Amino acid sequence: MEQALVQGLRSIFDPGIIGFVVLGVLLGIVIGVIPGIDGFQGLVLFLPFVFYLPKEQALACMVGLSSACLTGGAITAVLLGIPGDVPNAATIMDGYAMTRKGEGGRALGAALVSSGLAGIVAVIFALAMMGLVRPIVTSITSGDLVFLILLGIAFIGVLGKGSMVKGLISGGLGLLVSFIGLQISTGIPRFTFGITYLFEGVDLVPVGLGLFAIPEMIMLATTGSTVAIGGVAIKGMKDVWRGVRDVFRHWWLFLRSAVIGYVVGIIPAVGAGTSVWVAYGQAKASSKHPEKFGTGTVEGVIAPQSAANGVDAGALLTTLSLGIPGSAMMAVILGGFLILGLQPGPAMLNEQLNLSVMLILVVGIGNVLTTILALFAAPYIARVSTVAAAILVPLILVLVFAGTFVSRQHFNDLVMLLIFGALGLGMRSYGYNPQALFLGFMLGGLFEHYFFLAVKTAGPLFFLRPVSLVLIFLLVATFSFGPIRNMVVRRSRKGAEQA
Amino acid sequence: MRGLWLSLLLGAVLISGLALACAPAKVSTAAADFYKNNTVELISSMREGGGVDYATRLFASYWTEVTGGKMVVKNETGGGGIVQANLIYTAKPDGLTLGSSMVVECLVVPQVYASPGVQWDASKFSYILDYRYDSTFALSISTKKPYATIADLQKVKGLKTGSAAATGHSIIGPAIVAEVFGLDGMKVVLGYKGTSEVGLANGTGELDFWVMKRGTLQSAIDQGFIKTPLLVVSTKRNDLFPGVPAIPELVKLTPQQENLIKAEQATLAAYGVVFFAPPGIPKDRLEFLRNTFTKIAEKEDVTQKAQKTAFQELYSDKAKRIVTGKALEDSIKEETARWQEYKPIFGPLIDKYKQ
Repeated sequence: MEQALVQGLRSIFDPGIIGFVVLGVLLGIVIGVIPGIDGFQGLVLFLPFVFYLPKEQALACMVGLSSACLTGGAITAVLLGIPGDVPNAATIMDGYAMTRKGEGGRALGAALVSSGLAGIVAVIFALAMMGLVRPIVTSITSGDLVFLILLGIAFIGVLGKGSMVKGLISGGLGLLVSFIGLQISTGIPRFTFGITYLFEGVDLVPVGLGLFAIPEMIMLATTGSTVAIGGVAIKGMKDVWRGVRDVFRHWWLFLRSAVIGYVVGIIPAVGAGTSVWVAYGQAKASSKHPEKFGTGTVEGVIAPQSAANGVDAGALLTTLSLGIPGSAMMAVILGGFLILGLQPGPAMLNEQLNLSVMLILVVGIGNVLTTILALFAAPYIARVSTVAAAILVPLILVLVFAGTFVSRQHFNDLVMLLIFGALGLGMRSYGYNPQALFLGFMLGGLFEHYFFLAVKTAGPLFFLRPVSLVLIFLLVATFSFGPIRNMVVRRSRKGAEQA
Repeated sequence: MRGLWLSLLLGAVLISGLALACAPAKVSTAAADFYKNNTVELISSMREGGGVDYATRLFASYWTEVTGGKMVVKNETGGGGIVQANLIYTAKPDGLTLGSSMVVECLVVPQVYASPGVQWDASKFSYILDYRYDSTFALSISTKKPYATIADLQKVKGLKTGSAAATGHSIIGPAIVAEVFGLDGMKVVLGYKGTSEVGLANGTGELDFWVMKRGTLQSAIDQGFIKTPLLVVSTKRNDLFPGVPAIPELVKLTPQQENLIKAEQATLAAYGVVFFAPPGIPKDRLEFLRNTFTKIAEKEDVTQKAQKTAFQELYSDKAKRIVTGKALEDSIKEETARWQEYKPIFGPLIDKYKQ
């Protein structure tokens, strides 16, 4: 293993390979920044070129691209309130709010550094746990996944700063929307009203961009202001470095969020979409000032971004060692392996250990490069939050509409974009929570799938398993930690006053 | 004022760009040009990591080399292939949306057995190519379970196995085992998104055993999810499973049980990964697709790559392995008739054991 590590490091810094890692990172940042075009599509576009490249270079470029996308997506999430990729939706909660307060540089600094460092933490875990993936993955059943996803869904109630009831209604609406389409277990059409377009269900891209981008752009256009309220001056690199220091200040939050991302990344088919909300929710629930979440607190940026970037190394490790893709992007990378005549699976770690270690290291290097490149550009990129609405709004709207169409080339997706845009606008006006709707929508299908499998295989008492019980405990602990701590603090203060 | 004009100009330029980007795909009179200039979406009915998905990505990986065009692979799982089949059946018949699935288990049998959710007529799809293999099934036990023999399984009530397909051999195979060995309360859990998920469920101990074809079982054995096969679901041994006994070696079959197994064997001929398109795609495009997929299937390295992974049981005879054109259409009609004929035997069996 040590030899493979040394060889892997040597390979990465080979000029022929590092060049492709840099290329992948640059492509990943650009793709991540453009709304509606995500890492999956970027990898698909790159796939045909794999034929013409040596395997190390091709795979290094693909892994570099995938490791940069979510960091690139954080830039638009923080500065414009538009998720560059699905998991970046959680970063908007506080990242965009910080930008509105004129702290865009700080939010960017925190998002970029937590992403980069989370990538490194996850790589360290991945290398240390190469022989442990199978035991971990095979200890988690469908029933356990129900509670993991429930952990994500349950945070619907604590998202944002509004009424919990409205948050739950929003989340419930999202769950309902997730039921539209052909039912996952039986294939029976549900809520499709005979419309063929709805058989595939409602796509993530128009929902995400509709809920977040359209209302935001309408608000900006009607107020005529800039994203940063009152055009508050960006404080340059000083502001960015403040965000960087925030990550070290909140090191324990960062570390546990990165670990959440890594662990979720190992589990096939769950993905970053779940991990970011679990991380955000636990950050809020355990914070001394949970009421500040959603108003622009830096912890609300550090937690989801750390989790999002912690996923990659875990997902890659599962893909390499079991041949089962840990995420949609890994499924495309799996396709790349096949083109190159490689077969991920148990034999891969034996026969291609050097290559496997190199690719895992690329995740870390890719994250670091992305962070460095984006950090130095951050003060300049942050200025977009002071661009006049008259220029920004048409530009963003065109990108949003183009990105939505490019996703599946369905004109109906544009109609869906407008419907959810209107819904998002209405929700904001009446104090409902579009993030909660998006979360319910994203996780509803997964929850249903694993719930039915759990009940069918283990009966109604499927939760009576160690892993499920631990997750239930975590769920209860997460929600009760804050109130219990507040109660203890109040009692000790009362005690001190009486004394 | 200046800002207003600037934003209007910017908007006009960008909207023009959007209009150009949204312009309909260039349609050429020649199918080859059409496919060179447009992106094909190939939708797999099963989840990433399994046999169908692997074959899909393997073929897709050669598309650019052969046609010069682009192909994107997508996974639309659910309902044992019913979700994807419904989508393909109702997709625009322009030849740019294709599907990959298991023709018998996911297209023919769900229709013949009127599975809920089926909205297609299997005879109307535009079939491109079927990539066939010997689909003799064997039984393997989960590595998380303490059972080592059939006798161990017979002592347990309520055993569970899984299927990614909604019906067909994935249910009939285990059902036959349950019938002949008296596995009380055995159920086949439906709803898995692909064989990779069923394999993993065996690996976690969520399922007790798996009845599946050689290549898929071998992948799961290599992943440490299941043990080596215990028996072959057949009346005699099969070279694909050397040293593994067939059912009659382990139990005395009644004439009815023997007929049941023979009926199951009779329906194994047309097993493969089928590539297909919506009904009514232009004939020249269908012909082009058939030729292209045949070229890909005939490549030596495609066969080698397939055999190295989940398709060790590919037919070595090219005529049996690659079936396309009218031969494929006729084969599907025969299978439909055969499954219709066996419906009184298999129908109650499927209903009894599926969950």
